[in-house]
Amino acid sequence: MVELENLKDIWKQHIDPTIDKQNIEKQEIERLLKGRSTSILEKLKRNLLLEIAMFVVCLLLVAAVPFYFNSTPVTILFIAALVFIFIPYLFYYIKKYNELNKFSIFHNDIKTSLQSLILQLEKFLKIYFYGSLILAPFSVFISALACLYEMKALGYLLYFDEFSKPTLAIILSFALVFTLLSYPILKWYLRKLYGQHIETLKEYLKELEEVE
Amino acid sequence: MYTTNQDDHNDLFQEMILQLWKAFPSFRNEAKITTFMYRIALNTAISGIRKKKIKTTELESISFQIKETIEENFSDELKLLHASIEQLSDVEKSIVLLFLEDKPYDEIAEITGISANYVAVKMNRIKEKLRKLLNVK
Repeated sequence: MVELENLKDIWKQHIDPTIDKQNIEKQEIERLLKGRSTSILEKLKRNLLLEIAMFVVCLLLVAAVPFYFNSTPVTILFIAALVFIFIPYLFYYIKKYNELNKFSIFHNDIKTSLQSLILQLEKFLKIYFYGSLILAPFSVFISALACLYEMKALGYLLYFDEFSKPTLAIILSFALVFTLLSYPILKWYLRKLYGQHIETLKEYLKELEEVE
Repeated sequence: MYTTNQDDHNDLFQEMILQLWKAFPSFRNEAKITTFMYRIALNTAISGIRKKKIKTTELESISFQIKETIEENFSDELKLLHASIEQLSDVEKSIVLLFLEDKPYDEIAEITGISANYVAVKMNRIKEKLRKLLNVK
């Protein structure tokens, strides 16, 4: 049986000399520093950059639409979408990215770091979740309207008046159904990406906070 | 201690070096350099996303995960100690690691963010847990 009092001695005898022998060369450190970070914050930042890139593409696509449609209502609709939906979202994501760039947890004590990380992750997930959920019906509504308009221009669905109340109601219903369906998918996706990790971090924090 | 295979071990080591490199400009001499470095290393180990571990309660099966080098070069006592520590939670591992590195409770408290008294309570619990695990074998 190993006595607990001897643990330190065992550790010192066997581990410490091994660590001393593992001094790494300057070139090895340089190689390690060139590697890609796998930290949760870097993962968040990479995902945010991807979101920003996708938003820029969407923004350019939406901005290009009025050049192809000569109808005033369609132009107004797309300009409104740009101003009220896409540009604020883009600014928000850029702000969030800058915040994450400045955010550093690693030099704090473990408990403070865990608290900050959980707070930041939950804030990000909450806004990402509700942001996507709000954006979904608008995007579907605008896309469906544009598709309908384009099909009419090509000679299909001529019996549809895209700006009549019943048509708008159908498109709106479709957008809402799409949003309802995307709710569980989005929840599952975010849980798969970060949710389980947050739960683990919370368990660690609870363990540090529990008081006899 | 925080990884179960060589690839994960290398990834975690690289991440620690990266985080140390990034955090070094923020070092303000408010704490000892070793405290600062332990904070970064342990924060990186605890907060990182790692591949799923194989969950098992059997000490025997855990012992298979001990690195080959340890199997070959180290004593049975160390193998047993390593296998027992593997059974602890990540937070407990960080506390026991600091204890084994001969850090006083005050410094462990500074690194973990809990009070020195609570470190003592926690350490007693860990010792009890390790005692049970070591006696199983």
